[in-house]
Amino acid sequence: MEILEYTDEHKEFRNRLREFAIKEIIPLADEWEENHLIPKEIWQKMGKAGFLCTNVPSEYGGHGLDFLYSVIIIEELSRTNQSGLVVSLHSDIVVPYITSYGSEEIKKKYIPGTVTGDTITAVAMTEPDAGSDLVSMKTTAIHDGDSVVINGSKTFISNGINCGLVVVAACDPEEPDPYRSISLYIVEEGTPGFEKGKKLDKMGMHSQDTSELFFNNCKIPKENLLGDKGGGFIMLMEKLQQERLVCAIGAVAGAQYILENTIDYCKNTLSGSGKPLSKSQATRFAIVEMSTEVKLGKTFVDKLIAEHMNGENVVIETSMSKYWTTEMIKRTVDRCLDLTEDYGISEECLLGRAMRDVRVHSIFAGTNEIMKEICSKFMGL
Amino acid sequence: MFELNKMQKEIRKSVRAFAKGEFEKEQCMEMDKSCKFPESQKNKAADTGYLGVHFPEEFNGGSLGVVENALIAEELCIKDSTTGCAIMLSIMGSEFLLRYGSDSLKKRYLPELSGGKIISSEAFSEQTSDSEFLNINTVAEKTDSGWVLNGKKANVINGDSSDIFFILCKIEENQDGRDNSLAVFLVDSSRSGIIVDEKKDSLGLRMLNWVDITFNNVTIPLENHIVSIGNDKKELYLYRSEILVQIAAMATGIAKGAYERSLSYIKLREQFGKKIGEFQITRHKIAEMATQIELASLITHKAAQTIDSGKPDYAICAMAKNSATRSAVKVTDEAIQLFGGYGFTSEYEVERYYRDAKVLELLGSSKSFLKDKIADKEIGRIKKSKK
Ligand SMILES: Cc1cc2nc3c(=O)[nH]c(=O)nc-3n(C[C@H](O)[C@H](O)[C@H](O)COP(=O)(O)OP(=O)(O)OC[C@H]3O[C@@H](n4cnc5c(N)ncnc54)[C@H](O)[C@@H]3O)c2cc1C
Repeated sequence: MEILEYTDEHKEFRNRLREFAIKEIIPLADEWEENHLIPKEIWQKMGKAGFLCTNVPSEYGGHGLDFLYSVIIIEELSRTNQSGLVVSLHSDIVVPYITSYGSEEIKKKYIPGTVTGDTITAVAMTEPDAGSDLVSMKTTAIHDGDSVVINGSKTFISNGINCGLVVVAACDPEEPDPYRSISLYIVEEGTPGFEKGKKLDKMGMHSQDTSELFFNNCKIPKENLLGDKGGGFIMLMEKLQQERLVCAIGAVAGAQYILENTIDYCKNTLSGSGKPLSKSQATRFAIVEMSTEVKLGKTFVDKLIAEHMNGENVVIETSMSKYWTTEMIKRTVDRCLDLTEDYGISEECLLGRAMRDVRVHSIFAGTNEIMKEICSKFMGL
Repeated sequence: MFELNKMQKEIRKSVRAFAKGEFEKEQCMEMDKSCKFPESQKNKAADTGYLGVHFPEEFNGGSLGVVENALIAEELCIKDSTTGCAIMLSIMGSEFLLRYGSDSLKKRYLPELSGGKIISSEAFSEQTSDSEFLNINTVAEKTDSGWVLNGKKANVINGDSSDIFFILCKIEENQDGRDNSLAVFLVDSSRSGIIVDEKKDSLGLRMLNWVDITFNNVTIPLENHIVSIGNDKKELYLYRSEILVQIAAMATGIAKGAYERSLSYIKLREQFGKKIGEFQITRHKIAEMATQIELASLITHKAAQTIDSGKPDYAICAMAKNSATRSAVKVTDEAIQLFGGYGFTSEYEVERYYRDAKVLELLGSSKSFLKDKIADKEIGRIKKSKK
């Protein structure tokens, strides 16, 4: 019995995406990793095939589909040997800020491009000195007549180089209460005063163009404010449930993919004694233990998906799932590497890339320590 | 051995000062990225006497022991994990020569190795062999004029740049027993018939290279036969013990290096109006890391001492390798976490320490194999039950 009910349309969508990935993504993954960039065309191809912003209503050019389509996209992209094409960040994290909080004009103006993939999006919250402690951010937004002037610098921004549009969090220096000072704004690429900085040199996610962004007297129209002025912190909090859930879905699917590959390898590789590696009792037990963890994670996360789709408040559980599943995928890669022995040293074995890529899962979208802080707060501890 | 003696402490201090002066951060990061061997750093380390301290003085060594060699490895890796490992492993396999070689071979090669003039590689593994070196298919055949070698070796460290290989072969003339006909040979890389495949990109220790090498009718002098391996594989186990200790020592250094960097960072980085080192969770992480390092270092020194005392204990060396490399992976992983997003960038180095630590854990004999061996020793023979 499945927790989530996938219809035939969902299944057909999954098959279509899997075929798309086999043709358009997997063969290019190595090249993207080497170039340290995702080509913009793949975003457009994804858009054209209907794989971006699936839940955007049709009046803005979208497909009006349910969250299970997002789940399918996250799961399938976890099986493509690259993690730079962060479709879910775009479709399930950034664009929802615009769909939920943008004015009608703003939605009409910006959303269609995000569905076709002509506009790639990013969200800029983190600053060099403000990571976990988001509200200590220093980037300012000063309203001046019909425009807003933004000043400050952001870092670790996913899609920072490719983005055509950024949702920027900035604060009002006049507002003493930090929780009421943050607002969200849309800044377009090419706006004078908005500059993209250098791409960060990272351990993994090489194809992802994570970078710094600078705002230097960057003037935008006041219509580009999302929601109410000073409502930024609340909007961020409202959207975080989905963001964390997205991380957990990716972690479970990624772990499952890694494990499947490792099981294949262990069954098909002979040890020195002439038997497949998977015949060793220690290897068999390790595989069973890891499979158990993946199943536990999947059961937990699938239930959260159902509750999330049902509109329930599952902040505590999604925070728990974000920390547990991201630790679980790290543990899984680490143990899988041990099973492949020295083959894992070579980057030829994709586990090395997986290890380099998944290390960040316990850091981004709120570190796992912050997840536990949130849980404990909501649990009244 | 609970405390280092005065001389050992001196060695530690001087290696630390050396590494601080010679290993430049930006340069090391660049060498890791471009997979370049730290030639000049290795030469300077050799000139200072840090290569082959466990070789006798007559062969340009330091006449010291495996403990001292481990201390050097540790200190070099604290300052830079990849450079440290590359230097230590640049004479890989040389212990075979040191322990079993003829005087003339030793005279000829050991001073060159410890002097940093040449690089050596261990070419033991094959595609189908395992940690116990079952299934070695590279064959050495004795002829009147020398030995003729044929076969293919896998994942030879530094195979692309080595001057000499220590190669494990099956001896043709005695091929009845499956595993009692092995021998180790010294092969000059300038011999004809050696085909080196393309370098493999690796997860860590990227200043070294990993290659597969084919030996195609490679002829070497008769005297280059270093030693035949006995039925009990005693020679292989002794050699492996030394490698295991060396890996454990490098891992301990890597853990310490990542730990020291974390310590400075948590005292500087502020979030929520506090230094992150003030949060109880951070403090407990530091406590855990420090504990891991203390344990790794103790067992590594103990293992090294079993070799120096003339009673090499393979099981202890295996424990040291397994536990020190595990600690190194855990400590470097936690270091990345403490650095937050910055830990994921190359700039802060701990990501490289983490990758290097994991490669050390995978290197040499597998974790599972070493556990088998430790259990062999601990459990001994069990009487089979009668049906
Ligand atoms: C690849 C990548 C992509 C990213 N993408 C984006 C993006 O698109 N947009 C964006 O805005 N940001 C992005 N980030 C930033 C990410 O969200 C931050 O790195 C993260 O929130 C942590 O902040 P920090 O790096 O400043 O670490 P810090 O906040 O400095 O944390 C350092 C360490 O201290 C710990 N710590 C902090 N506070 C406490 C506490 N109270 N108790 C105990 N421990 C604590 C942390 O858990 C961590 O271990 C990305 C980061 C990476 C690496």
